[in-house]
Amino acid sequence: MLDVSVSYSRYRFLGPEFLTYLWYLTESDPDAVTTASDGKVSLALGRSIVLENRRRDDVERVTIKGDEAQMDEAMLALKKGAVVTQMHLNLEIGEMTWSFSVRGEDLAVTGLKTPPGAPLESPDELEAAILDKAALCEKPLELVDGLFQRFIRLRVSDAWHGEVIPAMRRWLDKTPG
Amino acid sequence: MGLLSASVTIARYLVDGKVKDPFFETVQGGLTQHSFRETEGGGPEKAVGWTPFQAPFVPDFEAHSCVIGSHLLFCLRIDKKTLPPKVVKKHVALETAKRLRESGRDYLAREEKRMVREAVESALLVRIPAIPNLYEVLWHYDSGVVWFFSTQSAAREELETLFSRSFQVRLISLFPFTMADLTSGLGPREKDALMTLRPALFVE
Repeated sequence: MLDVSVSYSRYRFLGPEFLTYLWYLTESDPDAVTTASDGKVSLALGRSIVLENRRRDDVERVTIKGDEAQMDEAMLALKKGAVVTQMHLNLEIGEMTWSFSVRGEDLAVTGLKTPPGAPLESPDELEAAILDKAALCEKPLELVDGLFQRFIRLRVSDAWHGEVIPAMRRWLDKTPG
Repeated sequence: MGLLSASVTIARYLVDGKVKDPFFETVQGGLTQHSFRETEGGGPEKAVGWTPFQAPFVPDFEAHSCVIGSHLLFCLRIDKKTLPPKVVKKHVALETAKRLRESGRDYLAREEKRMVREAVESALLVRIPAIPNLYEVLWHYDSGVVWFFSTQSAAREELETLFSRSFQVRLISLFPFTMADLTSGLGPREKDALMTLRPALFVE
């Protein structure tokens, strides 16, 4: 395996590419994320997104917070060549809801809010509360991992340039922004 | 933003290597040997060590088990003394004035100024308390995955160093490339292709 710091720098584009692909996937093929067997699953872009355009000498960063109308600005940045470096997502599985942000650089999850877990009313219940919360935190991580696996398999295949990139360009062309 | 917080932050690692058997005794030994030691008074600027999740300010791993189901849960504690710059500036000015008065000179040489600053900082560090910071660590020992509940670079560096020193196994930070290479189940040909990737252009 490559040295960790070398691979971090050399392939740092993979995270933003994945998040950009994820945005495309949630909008154009939402069924791709509804694969869990324990209920209806949906994943949607949440209330904020950060994009960066490194195609010029300097880095242009666009942070969008707000409703769908303002997401048009994010789409416009994408059309100018930016990629997504951080995005807020809402995940629903059955009746339960998670919200969290994913950072492109390391796919770390921040600001994760899970459905309510087992109440902690006495020290005796600490272990159960920990196990419950850990299981709740696992769900969005599993989903992100599954989608990343799907992305990376496509990314190293001929289908990436042959099918995915053309499809994403068609999505960009037809989406207002 | 720990596990039981309303808002959780998680950075992930893969444990590289096998912890020496017997596993739980080795982990318990590593946690105890590198448990947090208090640094009040004349201690160093920074102190780092493990503490139990249940009692982060009383680091006793005999009294508090870190095993919870198929997880190990404990804390990385980093205590740091931070000198407020304005306080340092004030005390340097006072000490400089005192030395000038005692020596009858009009100014201090550059080397003397440096020595005054160092002496002031050392004296102040003895007097101020260290600020404790706790970062939780959840080790899924069946899968060899570690969750660290912070994305702060400095805290992550301390975790990686102390983990390796305590358990003689390395933590590999999981980010897109390492996830692709180590946890995504790619075959040899796909890994070869991974190495040749270049940034994609989503617009023409």
